[in-house]
Amino acid sequence: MIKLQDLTKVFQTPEGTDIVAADKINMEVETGEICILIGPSGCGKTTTLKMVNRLIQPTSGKIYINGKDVTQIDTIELRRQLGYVIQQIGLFPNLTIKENVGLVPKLLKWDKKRINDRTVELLEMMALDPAVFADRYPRQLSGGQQQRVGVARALAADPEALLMDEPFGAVDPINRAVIQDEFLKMQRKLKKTILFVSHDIDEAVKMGDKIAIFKDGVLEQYDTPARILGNPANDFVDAFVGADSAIKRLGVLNCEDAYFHEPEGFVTRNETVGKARELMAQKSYSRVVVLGKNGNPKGYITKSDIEGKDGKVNDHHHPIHYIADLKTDCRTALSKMLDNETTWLPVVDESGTYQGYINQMGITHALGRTKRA
Amino acid sequence: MEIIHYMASNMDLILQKTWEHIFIISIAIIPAIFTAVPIGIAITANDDHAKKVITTASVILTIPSLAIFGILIPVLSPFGYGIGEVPAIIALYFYSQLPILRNTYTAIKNVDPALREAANGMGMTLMQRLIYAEIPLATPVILAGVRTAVVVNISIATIASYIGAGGLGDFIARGISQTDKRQLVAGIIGVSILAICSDMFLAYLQKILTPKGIREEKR
Repeated sequence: MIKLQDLTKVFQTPEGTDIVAADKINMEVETGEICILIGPSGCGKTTTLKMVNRLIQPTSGKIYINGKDVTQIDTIELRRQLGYVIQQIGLFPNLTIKENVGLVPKLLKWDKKRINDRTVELLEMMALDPAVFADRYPRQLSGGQQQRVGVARALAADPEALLMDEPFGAVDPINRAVIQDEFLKMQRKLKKTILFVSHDIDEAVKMGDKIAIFKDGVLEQYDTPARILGNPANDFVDAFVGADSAIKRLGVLNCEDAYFHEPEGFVTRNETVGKARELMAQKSYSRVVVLGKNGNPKGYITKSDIEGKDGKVNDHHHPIHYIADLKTDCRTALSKMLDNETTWLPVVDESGTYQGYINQMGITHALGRTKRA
Repeated sequence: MEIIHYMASNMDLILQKTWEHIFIISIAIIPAIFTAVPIGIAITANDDHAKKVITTASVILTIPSLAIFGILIPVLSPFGYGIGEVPAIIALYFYSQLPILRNTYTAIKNVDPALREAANGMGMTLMQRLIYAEIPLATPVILAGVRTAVVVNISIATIASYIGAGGLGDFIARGISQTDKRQLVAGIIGVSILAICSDMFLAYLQKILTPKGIREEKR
């Protein structure tokens, strides 16, 4: 857990006037959570981050890491306990990838074998084959690969927390999405406490368990992405998250929150049309989903499709183009609906079992519910 | 023809004088590296100091060598070293400062600030940062400074012959005073070959001491 208490930084300009870069920042980041610090340039987000590892010395206030006040401990010792990743990466060009990753363990005087094992483990975690990359030099890697090494280096000594300053800002958009996804996947396993500076609200919504929005050194709002988007604390936050905040909120809402539970609303492909008609009449469904060989939704049939027909449902169904699962975010689900010119999608659970369906009305209601919450 | 004949028959003497030349320069350049590099690194911490130190070193370089030898005679005479190799070595030491110091300063200053921030952020001390990153990265440029210093010193050491420091300058000095073309040209050829060879040797050193990760890739 990282706790900032009345953390303040006052800079003096050469003319002697004071600039408050961070004004009594109070926040708590729970262990294992990613907290995104965001705001316009000069809002104090980077200052706040750098005060945690004291690259910037706080003017006043306290910082607690796992309950321990770190404001007074030796900076060198403190920094070795905190991983640090910056946008410009800052790999040592004269050292190999292996040596770069093993740098902090080496400073901590780990023995050679332990450093080597750890390096291999981290490179594998970062999807960089150690056999290929360990002995290369940074300039032989692409920007995205270098940033992976940067993250591996920060994690090397298993730090208590990670500080990341726009870590993926210099990576091209396609690779950025990939590296963000990989990072989230890794974070689910590692559960590090992370402070992450970003200027991209989409990145914040995607990556953050919490978002802290700064303006002119003041923490304007600190909450979950869903609540920041749904209940902006003031006009500034409202404007900052953008006019399409509801669309962004779709990204943090899962189908789970918005679908209609209807686990009986299916027939299997070899059942008769009569069975389908009976089910529709009994439950007053206007359509039923047709399950394929493996129990996965394969198609659907409506009342009019089978009026006066007989045989197996398999002969009469319409195809289904996209199947959502409970963890699919509503943004993707809605996009797939629009893509396939349909108003609903079947929803399955992790095992692929049909659970019900999601439609635009369900999404609208879910957005409304979470806004009022 | 005459000259070749002269050089061939005096090869022993030429080699001896070349050795003297190399000796004076080596004795001057090695301590010069050990002072100029740390000073060059130290002044990166403060731009004002850097300006003063570099200006001072530049001024030293503009003093004619004969003048320095002249100044050193009364200064060193009480210790019995008014003339000979000692004043020559001291003068060459001072002349070596500027190229090495300025190159060190520039090289360290040009290290990517991102690297410095990353190093600080991961808890490296100033010393560790210098050893692991900044000095290795600055090495090629520092050695370029050493190359400049050596080549400049080879020509300045020639003049030190006038204060009895020996070296290949002896041929030139005698050639001029005795209007002996053979000795003059032999001295010039000797100095030129020495300068070219030293430069090539140092270029090679510069190449092998450049960290592999920043070497130009052959395409």
